[in-house]
Amino acid sequence: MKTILLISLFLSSLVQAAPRLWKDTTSDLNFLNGSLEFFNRSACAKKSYEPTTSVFLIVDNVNIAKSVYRLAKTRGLDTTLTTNQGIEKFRYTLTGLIRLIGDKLLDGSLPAIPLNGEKITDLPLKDALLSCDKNDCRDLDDYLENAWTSSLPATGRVSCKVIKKFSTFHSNLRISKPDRVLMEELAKEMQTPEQFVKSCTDLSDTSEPEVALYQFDLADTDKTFIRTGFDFWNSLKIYLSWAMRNAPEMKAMAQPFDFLFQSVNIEEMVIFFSNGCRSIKPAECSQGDLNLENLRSFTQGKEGTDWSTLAVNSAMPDAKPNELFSSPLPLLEEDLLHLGSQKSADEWTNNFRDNFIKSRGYNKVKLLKAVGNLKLITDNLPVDRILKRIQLDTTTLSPELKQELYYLCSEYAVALDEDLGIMKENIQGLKDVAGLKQIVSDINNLELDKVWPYFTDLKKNVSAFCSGLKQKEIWDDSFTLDKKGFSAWYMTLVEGKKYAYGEDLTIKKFTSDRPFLKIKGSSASVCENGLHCARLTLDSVMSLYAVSQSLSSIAPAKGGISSNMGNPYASKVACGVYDPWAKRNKIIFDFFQDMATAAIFGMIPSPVYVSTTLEPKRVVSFETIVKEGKVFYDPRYDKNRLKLSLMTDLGPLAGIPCSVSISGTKLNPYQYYQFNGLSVSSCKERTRNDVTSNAAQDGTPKNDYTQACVTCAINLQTIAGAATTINPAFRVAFFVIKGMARLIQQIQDPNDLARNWNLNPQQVALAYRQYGTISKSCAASLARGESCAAEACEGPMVEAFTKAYKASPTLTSFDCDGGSGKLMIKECADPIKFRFDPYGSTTKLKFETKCSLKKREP
Amino acid sequence: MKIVFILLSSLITFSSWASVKIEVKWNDKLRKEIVLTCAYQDSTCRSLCQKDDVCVIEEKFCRDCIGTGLKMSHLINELGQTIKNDGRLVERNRVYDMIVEGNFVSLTPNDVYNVIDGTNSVRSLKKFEDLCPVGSQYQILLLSVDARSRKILRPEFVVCNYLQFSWTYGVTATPDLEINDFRTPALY
Repeated sequence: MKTILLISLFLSSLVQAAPRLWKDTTSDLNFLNGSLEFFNRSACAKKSYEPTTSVFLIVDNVNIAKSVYRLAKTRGLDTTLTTNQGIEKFRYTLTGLIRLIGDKLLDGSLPAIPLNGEKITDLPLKDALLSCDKNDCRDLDDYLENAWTSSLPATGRVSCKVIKKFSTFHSNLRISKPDRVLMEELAKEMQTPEQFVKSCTDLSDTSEPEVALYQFDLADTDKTFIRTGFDFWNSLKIYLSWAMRNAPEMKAMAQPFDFLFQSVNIEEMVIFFSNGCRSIKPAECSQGDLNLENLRSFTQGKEGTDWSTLAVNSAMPDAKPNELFSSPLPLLEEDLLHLGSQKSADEWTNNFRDNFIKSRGYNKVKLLKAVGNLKLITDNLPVDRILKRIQLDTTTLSPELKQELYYLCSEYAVALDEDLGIMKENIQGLKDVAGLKQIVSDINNLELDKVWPYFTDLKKNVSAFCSGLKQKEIWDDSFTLDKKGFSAWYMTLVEGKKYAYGEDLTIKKFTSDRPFLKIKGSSASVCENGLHCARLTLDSVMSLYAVSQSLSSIAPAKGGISSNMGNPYASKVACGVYDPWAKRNKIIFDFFQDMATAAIFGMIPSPVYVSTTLEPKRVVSFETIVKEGKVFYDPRYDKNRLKLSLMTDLGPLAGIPCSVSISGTKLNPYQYYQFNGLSVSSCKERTRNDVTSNAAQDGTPKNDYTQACVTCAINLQTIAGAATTINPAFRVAFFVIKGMARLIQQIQDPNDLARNWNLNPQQVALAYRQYGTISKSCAASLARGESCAAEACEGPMVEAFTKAYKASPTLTSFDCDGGSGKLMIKECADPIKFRFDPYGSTTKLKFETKCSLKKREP
Repeated sequence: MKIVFILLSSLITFSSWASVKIEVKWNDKLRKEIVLTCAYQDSTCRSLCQKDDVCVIEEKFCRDCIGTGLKMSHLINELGQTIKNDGRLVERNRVYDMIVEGNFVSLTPNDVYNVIDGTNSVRSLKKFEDLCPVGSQYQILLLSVDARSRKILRPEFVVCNYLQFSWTYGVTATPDLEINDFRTPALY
């Protein structure tokens, strides 16, 4: 054995490896860390269960810029210079802290804050988090401070980039499968990465003072990250929130703006979102998460954003995520984040900010107005006082008051309508939403626990009052309703009206010189009369309901907003609307069934068999559940997962090879069916191949269906049916063929059978430079994560070498069996000679060179 | 007329307030500070900071003050509307105690913390003017904050500065209301 090995080594050493000149050597070879993972729909949906190792961060600088500008003015400093310095420092501090915290967490120097409170074994931390949920975060701050003080310096495993322009480096966000065109583009763009990204420590350019987009990548995460990753991102946000106000490192980094930055509402200035299909937090079918789905629509350009169609801005949003199961499943290729339509990342981010801020501001104003009105009315006007005033207002009715009275009674009637269920399903649930309770209490001490009984009493009384009206006398034939006076929520719900941005949504009031409720010394009234006060109360409650749908963006949780907006399927999977495993399960199910049928047909000559089809579970509705103060939606499925069809080969009866399928009936799989008098002529044509029978009669047992679909098609199945008269062995073969054909057909599904590709940008760049193009076969290798180098050992060695050193290959000559190789690079006139063990690792570099090589920075 | 009356009565009743002027400044280190300037022979500065004429007290940071969060938005929007001067002069020791303890934050027209109103906006200036009797040169709203979290709790006082003098009033977020139980006959 040893002798053979030695001979082969000797022979191989005689073979001189032919040197290969590289085609593209015009520029220096750059190196892009990491890999690009591509997922099709099913794989992407599955990945939503895994934590990401790459996130984007959108930073909104506007408020910082405003503050620093004012500070410069107050101090008599150069406003432009100081403002730019302030923005630079803020970005530098924020990204620096994120890296520092991330490094400490990855090293285990800082304890993680588990996302799931039940998993926490550290009791002081558990108690501190519970108190913080109730708005007292003092203990948590103490805990974080202690943890921070005792943490050690960490290694740099978190990298940070500023995104200048979206490129193929982010193609995983809008492409499912990489092809050769994409790879060539990637290789070209890698030659000028400075056009697309830059280091976070490069503060040279603040051309876009309002916003910035960053990308953070975690290196060298181990397998346990799948379990700990969500806790990592949760912890990072909590520590960031603390560190921006308290960490000594923050004060050092932010000088001289540290005092100013401590006062920044950091949570509302940052949005984290996962880069790709993996998640930054576990997707859940909750109101908060579904609200954040809207973030994706904010990425549309100014022309593309239709304010009135955004559910988050609706005066009366849909209570449940019905849109989720009615809208078709998108593909990544649809560019749902609109990355391709913007000229630069700044433009994209700016546009996103504009849409987001506009929507958030709109809902904030709505909430503040509602809370303000409810506070003044419920604190000062007892229900009986409003009722008395209503009665007084309506003793004699002017045309305007008739209108107002009509609005009052209609609005309360709709709100109380049993079928619409607004009060029961939507409004009642609000009282259990802990977040809302705390938020309104923080604003002006409004106690929702007192508002609900008040409102219940008011609606009961208004309803009784309206029922007692002599309606035909008040709104007689001369009365014409002016619909413009209805409240916005009513018009949205009843008339389906959509409101544009900036439209006045306050309810119409008829002013008087003696308003019912008014702040002393103020020129404006709170409400003019009893009708108006009652309508305003209802309107405010409806506003609370509407705004409760977007609480997660109005008042972000600890550490700011995190979204899985890179994955358009995350919420759909969480809500059960899309099952990424469904297709795979169906394929396995079908294949086993086909094989079983083949086996059975080999034994019995009967042409009748039962066919079953596995259909994915389908969500038909959602039930609302309030759990720990959060609103969740529980999907309700249809129960009919296994669809049965009775298949009978009727070829000999009709004279043609034809199979009949009857489906849609409540069949019992344990009972046999026989057909009497069924003929093809009684069927009515539905489509090219389908015929419908209205007169199908079945024998025992009697069935109660009246219509069945009978399919007659010439296909493999039919051929198999026709073959029943043949030898049993051939029959088995036919059904095996049929099963295989169906299997092959099904596994070609490009979207719903999970597939993923891992592209190594370095391999792509090397392949492109070596051959000047990327061939189809090379693209196939690259998509499998394999090199395209001519020799097996060459790819890994050149890759490892160019990863470690700044080197741009111009010529390679490798003898894999002989364990030697030669590499010429632009940066060195002499060849670099490699020596390696032909049977050992090809990534362990051992080389000789006369040049001093420059190492790449990590 | 009423405001003038308040001003006059306060001049008579709380003349001691007139001897200390309060200002808000940003120092060279870009930190916010309260400057109390005491008139000749006034012992306030001596008792507060052992200096005869001026006490400089550095403010601590104000959590979430630079932003458009709900609390800050409500505060800025409601200034002069539902957040008003309660018409009662405040015992000065209450204000000094709060300042010395450090659990406060100050807000002025055109404040660095106010990112909701535009710089020098008429609306913003008017809001602060409405907090003080007519003639005040500039106003300082003092808000209490939580000692640990540094979150704003509530507006407490408004300092109204007149040339070399200051008067401080209480601030309320539950304003007096007018309720009319009778409809206006003229309209109907």
